[in-house]
Amino acid sequence: MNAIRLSILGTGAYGPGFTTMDELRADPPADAQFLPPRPERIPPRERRRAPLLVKLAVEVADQACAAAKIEPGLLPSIFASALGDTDIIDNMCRAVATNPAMLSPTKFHNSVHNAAAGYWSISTEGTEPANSLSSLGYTASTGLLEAGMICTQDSRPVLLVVFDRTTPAPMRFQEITDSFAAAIVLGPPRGDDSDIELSVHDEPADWTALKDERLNTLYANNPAARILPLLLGEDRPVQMPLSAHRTLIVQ
Amino acid sequence: MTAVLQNYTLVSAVGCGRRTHSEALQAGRSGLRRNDFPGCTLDTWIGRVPELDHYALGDDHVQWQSRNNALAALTLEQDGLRESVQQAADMLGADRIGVVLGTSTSSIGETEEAYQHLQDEQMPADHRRREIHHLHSTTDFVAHWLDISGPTMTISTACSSSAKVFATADRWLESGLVDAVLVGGVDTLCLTVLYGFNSLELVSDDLCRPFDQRRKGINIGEAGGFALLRREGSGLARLLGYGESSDAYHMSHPHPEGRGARQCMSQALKRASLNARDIDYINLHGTASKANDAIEAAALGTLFSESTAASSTKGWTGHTLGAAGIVEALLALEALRGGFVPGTLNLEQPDELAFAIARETRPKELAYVMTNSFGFGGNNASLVFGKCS
Repeated sequence: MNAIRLSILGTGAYGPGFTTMDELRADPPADAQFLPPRPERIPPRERRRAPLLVKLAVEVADQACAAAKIEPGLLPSIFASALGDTDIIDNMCRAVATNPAMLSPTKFHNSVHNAAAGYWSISTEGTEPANSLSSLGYTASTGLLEAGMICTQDSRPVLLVVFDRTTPAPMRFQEITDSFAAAIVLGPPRGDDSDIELSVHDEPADWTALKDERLNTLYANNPAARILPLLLGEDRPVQMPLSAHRTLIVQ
Repeated sequence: MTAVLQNYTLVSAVGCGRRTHSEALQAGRSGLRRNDFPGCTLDTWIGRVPELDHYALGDDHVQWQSRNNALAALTLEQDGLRESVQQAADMLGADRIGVVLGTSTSSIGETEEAYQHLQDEQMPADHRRREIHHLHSTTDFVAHWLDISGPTMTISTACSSSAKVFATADRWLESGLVDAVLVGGVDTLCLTVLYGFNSLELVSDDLCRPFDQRRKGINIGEAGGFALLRREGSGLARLLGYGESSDAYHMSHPHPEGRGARQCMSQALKRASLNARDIDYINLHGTASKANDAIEAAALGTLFSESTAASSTKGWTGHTLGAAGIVEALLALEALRGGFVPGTLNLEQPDELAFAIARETRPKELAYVMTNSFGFGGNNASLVFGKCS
């Protein structure tokens, strides 16, 4: 594969102890509380129905577009989440196990993996293509590569959102202990220090160790947080496995 | 863009494999039956694949056992698809093949089952399988089952999921990330989906009747479809264009003027360098819900004239949700290769339509076919295919 040259036009982040990129870069307290986001971008009527995971994704997407100074409705988007809305899956599975007639229609339409993409497009009046994907442990790397390919193919900015929430008790064997979301607006290369290069190596590799040790638990535990070395601008190259045999290298 | 479909196959309530589907389309033989899905008392019709009830993946793959993964394995047995993938892996290397699958619910049927047996808020130990309780389960299973070690992706955009796999596969081939992509769509019947669509009052107690004035909603079905895509070479058909768009309107109701539907059809035509009049047959999304069919018809009327034949094949398979995109693309390819326009089962009193809906299956030479898929969240995709020269 030929290397893909891109630039990072804007970023956003939300997680335990931080609600913006600035707060993420500052030192969050050790027992960082997660405050539920309230994204103003979602119209109030829709916001009441929007689940936490959707609000998390929309919040960081909006931050990244504001940082990139780009009208959000104009961007194609990739929404990448490893497990999706496990809270709603938990709710629906409880409903069908007890009284299926009680299954909530709002919960059901919010249960689709593309709920965040749907609310985002409604909130930004954006009619551009939106993709929603999972590659389980490789979700962040696969999502980044997909966004990079669309950006290169169409020579225009693309929004990437990676997000995963805490898992409910019955799914504790695949536990995510901290909710986290991040967004990056990628654009064609600008020839400055915002440029990055994606290439794929036909060799297995480990995930790059995160230098910022405060975030190690989050990094290890939440598949979306695998974007952190790139998001924080840590030393490159950053290694992001795409499968057990192939690796995305960010330079 | 001209990715080649080297081989493809499908399984639905109609039966297993290409030939069964082609014959059923021509004979008007539906796969729908009165709802007999275990644990579901809804008064409706469903498209069920009975072979799945006792399909075992075997001792080496017991941890992957689920209805959805069984359907993936059963589908890969048809029309030599598994052998085609293995030949490609031998020639190109297993890590040069990618897997991109669409599904809306993956193996959630197993999660539903585990929740029937929760003890102290925990799944019993024998239900706690890491291979199963997540969206990527079937994609991961297919890669393991076939020993493919390239990148894998699950696309889940509700009912457009497995139409969009073709767009991603095309990008993967174009960029040189891989040399072949196994695309697919697999969705199986499960309680959350049956009762979920029922809670939205979209499930019909009658047979689904796409574009009929008396239509009362959808019949839910299960299906699997796979295609092996290469950049070049010989094959059964070519992907010529794709279009993707968002409605930006409502989570479970399409845009009233079909804005997103029109946008993705136009984009697919543009990518294929074709005009609307070049399309000989369109396999419509045509779910038989009141809103979808009216709006899809309106969007179609702004682009296509009466010279384009169109139909919905949901009366054969039911609405197979995350599998619908690829299954209906493959039915359109059967029509393209077999030289016929599929009809629309159960359509007796058509709406007033600005295009030529086919009620009965009839012979016709086809050069270019299109298929539409529209999902919740306003997520749309259209695909255009042509013959291999």
